[in-house]
Amino acid sequence: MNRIYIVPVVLKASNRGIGPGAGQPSRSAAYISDLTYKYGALDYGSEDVMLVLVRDISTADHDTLAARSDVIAIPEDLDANMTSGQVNGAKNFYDTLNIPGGWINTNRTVRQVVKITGGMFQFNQRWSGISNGTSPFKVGLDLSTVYSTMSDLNKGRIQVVFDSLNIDISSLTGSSTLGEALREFGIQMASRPLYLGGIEI
Amino acid sequence: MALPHTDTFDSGDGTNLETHNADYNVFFGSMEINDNSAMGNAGSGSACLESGDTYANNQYAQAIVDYSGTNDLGILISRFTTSFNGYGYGSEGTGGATTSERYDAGVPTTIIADATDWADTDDVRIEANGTTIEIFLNSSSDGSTTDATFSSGDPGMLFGDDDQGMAFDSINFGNLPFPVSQSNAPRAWGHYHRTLA
Repeated sequence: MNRIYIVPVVLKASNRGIGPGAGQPSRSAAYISDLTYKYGALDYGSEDVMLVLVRDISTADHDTLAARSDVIAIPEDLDANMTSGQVNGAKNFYDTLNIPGGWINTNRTVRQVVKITGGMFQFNQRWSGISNGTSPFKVGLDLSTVYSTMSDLNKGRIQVVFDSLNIDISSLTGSSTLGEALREFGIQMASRPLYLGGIEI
Repeated sequence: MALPHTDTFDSGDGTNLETHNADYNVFFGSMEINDNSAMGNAGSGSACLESGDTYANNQYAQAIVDYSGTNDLGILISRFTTSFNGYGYGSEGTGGATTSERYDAGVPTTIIADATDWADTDDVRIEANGTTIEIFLNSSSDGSTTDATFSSGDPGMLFGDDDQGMAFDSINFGNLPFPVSQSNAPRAWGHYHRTLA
């Protein structure tokens, strides 16, 4: 079975680094990278968490992985609506990882939650790509930081992230928070294809 | 030069890659040609971009593998820059690791793990198409993932060391058509699919 997880990033010994990264470990999916499954990973930019699809994972390995307190196993039926228990579990988990979770409710399907989450992760990826590997949370922002209070540099980064991926920023105002920007970005990105592990979600 | 950029590395043994063709920008380590294949020639690794052409953001890097059986590392790169940012698809051959990595200032993040090991004469390809990164082995997809970190750069090659067990016998670097339909998707050099971004 193919299963999706949110897992921590772990540093694994690697010979893949080059130039200034020579000899440095590879950022990899915790626990999963110790196994032999093919997987695809979408990290939360330079934050140490990844959305991962694992191909053909055994039930035993899935059960072990899902039981870990720092892993969230996405329900297998992507087209089912989220249950109230899953909503609460996801919100609590997201809160610990600087991922907005207030938009998750029982009217959303699991697939919508995965795709919006993947969209928010892409916000942080592009932020990292335009800012030498930083993330909003490494430059002093948090999910409740209001746009109008941000530095011009960080306001500009948000604008570039939205514009460079052709995401409409017009619904955000000066009183919008970083969390609201992430959510809006994720919701719009969810209308586009999301590939993980060779599979379109 | 017009795209696609193709090269069968027909120069004498020991010829530096930049001497063979000045379009190559070997910005780290050194590379040379032996047995009409491009390979690394620096113990701490080497990196080059094809800088003689202007590449679109949606691009591919493709090569025919020259693998001698020793577990040395060769990596095709796409949307890569001299700041060591971009995407790679690399292998150490049979029994070695074969992965796709994103590079942030040279530091790897594994975005596709446990891909199929490369063998001699394999046709390998990496595409950066919108926010989709996809790898192909002998014209079949061997994995894809979504990554929005980098939007531009050039194709090229990386080598892990100077042991030269993994080399590229020929390369083909170019732009991806956009938008792609089933009717205009090239077949001879692999598959394409469309991602809006």
